[in-house]
Amino acid sequence: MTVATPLAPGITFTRISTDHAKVRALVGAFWFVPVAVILIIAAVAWSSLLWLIISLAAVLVLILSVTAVKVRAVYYTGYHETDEELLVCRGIMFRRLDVVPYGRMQEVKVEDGPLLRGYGLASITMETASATADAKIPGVPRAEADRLRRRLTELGTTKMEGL
Amino acid sequence: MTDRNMPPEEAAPVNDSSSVDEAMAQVASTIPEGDWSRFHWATPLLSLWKVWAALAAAAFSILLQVAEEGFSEVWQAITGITTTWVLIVAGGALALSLLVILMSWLVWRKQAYVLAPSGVHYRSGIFSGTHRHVRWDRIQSVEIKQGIIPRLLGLGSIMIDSASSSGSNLSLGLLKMNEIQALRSQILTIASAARAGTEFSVDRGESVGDLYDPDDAYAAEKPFYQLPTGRLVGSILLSGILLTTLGALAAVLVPLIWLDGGFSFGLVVAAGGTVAALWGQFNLNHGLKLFLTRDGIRVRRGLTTTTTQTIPPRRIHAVTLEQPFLWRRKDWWKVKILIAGSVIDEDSINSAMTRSTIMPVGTRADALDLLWTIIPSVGVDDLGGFFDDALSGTGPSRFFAPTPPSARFLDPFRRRRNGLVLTSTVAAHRDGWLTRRLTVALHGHWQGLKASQGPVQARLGLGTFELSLVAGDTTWSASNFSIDQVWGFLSEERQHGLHARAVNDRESIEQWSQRVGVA
Repeated sequence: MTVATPLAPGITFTRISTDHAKVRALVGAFWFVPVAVILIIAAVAWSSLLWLIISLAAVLVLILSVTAVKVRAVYYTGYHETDEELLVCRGIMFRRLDVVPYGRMQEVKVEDGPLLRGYGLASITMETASATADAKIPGVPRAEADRLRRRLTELGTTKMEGL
Repeated sequence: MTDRNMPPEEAAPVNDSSSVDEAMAQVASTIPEGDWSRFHWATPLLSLWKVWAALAAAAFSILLQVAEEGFSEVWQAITGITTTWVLIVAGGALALSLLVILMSWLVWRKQAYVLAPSGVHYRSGIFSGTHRHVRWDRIQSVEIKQGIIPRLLGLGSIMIDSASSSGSNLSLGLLKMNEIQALRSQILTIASAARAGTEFSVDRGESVGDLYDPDDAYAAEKPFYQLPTGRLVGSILLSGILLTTLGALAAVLVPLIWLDGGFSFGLVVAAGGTVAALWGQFNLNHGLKLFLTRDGIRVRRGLTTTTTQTIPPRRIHAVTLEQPFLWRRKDWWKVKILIAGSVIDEDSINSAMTRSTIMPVGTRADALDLLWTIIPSVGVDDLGGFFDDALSGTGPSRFFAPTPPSARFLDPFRRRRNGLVLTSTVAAHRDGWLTRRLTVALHGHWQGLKASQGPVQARLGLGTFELSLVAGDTTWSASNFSIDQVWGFLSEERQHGLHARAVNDRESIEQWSQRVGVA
């Protein structure tokens, strides 16, 4: 259950729960199904509306490919805790590596929606004073999320640093 | 005002907004009613100018419509005016004015502020109350602001900047300038004491003496930098905005004239917008003076609205030097700084962006002098060579790590300027093809590091290395370096950051004033 990324050679990351891929696939389906239904109705009922069908098909392809990329990215998402920083790697097509020192933490957010909760997952975000530095770990088991939250809060307060 | 020592007040947790609200309400209820002070009575009257501006804008748009329908109708409208109409309009205006004055009075009665041991409090609101509280140790900077009418009346307001990422600046005003002066020094003293963790007492003594004018106070001081009006006008003319506008105008006007089209009022409005933007730049930066004071770098500027901003150098996270293409012959540079909380403002993000520019235009020597007052050392021996490379160098360089050849596919023009260096004190990135740019960030201030790689970059073995700085209009992002370089930079910067945070590498305000010679 570990991941590696070419952005950080030599570091093994703990992979997030693969159940998160199902969550993402379901979210994709949530968008895909109604569009597909409208497409079918349009194609059957008004066969002359060529442009509607083309645009709907384009939207379908877009939803499918985005979902595929997002689902695949789950298998390459992981986190690694060092003594000083939290490292999070994400993605395979668009790879990202975030390094956030515990002392820079302003807020830890644990979130779960109905879908995530259904799989016993939660996402945890460590927010900083920067708009771009937010180490977000999507889809870890609830117990692990709570452990991370406690640990990050604890480390964040002991290492509290000014801006 | 009574002297009170700082009570052992429990620090509200920063990361829990609901309990902050509760804590705030509790703290507020402990402040005696008599401690609250009111503002000058002119405050709401002057802030209601927006109502008048809206009315004027409405009237203008009606006139515009009438004019576009043809002048004969205007003439008809004018001849149609009777005494009854004049009376009705006058009566309406009078009633509206009375209403505005009544509203102003109600607003004014509810506005109050107090400097308490827990921080600066401000409350307002007729129907729903607002209570704002800035803790002493969170105050980043204090600024005096004077519009043209308050200036004539000897009034001003004081803006308190805190590093909050969601709130805006706390503005106290209008107040008499004497009072402003007393408040400002009091706030600065207490804020620095609170940050240092020493004891302090809140005592806002009555200010005495003649009317305080910030200009008088600084008259004796020698400005560190003074922006000549000619240079400001020149820089605006060479800014490219004007050239683009002229080009666009010509593109619209020429066909209109040649093809004998109608004259459009929309065009006039558009041109007016550009003129207003250029005027805004001129008005904001007119007569800009930089002073080095014991509290930090003081920026005083503005033609109709004069603002004074004091920036503690410790709070500066990064400095950017920028040179638009047309400034190259003059070797002019623009200096921008990044301070936590400086972007969030009541005004639009644009005005905050212009306020982060503390030297709108200066020579290379001026810009480097200013850089030196902010950053004690860039960690290299050959400063001259370093800055030649950093500001106007291209291609492989002694100081800057260059991008690999494969970057030319993604950055054909920019590649030669794109370079970065991590010294023992700063992370510097030079960039830009037409507009040259150098961004210098301090190791002890970044919030996070980021490496990324898109699909095309992956094919070429490239990656992007980024320092996440506090929210503001400065970014430090070095794209299209080889993937090995990126990991090298990241590992090195992690060490630098760790070290800088551990030793708290920034000089204190006392050390700073010693170094720049204002102590």
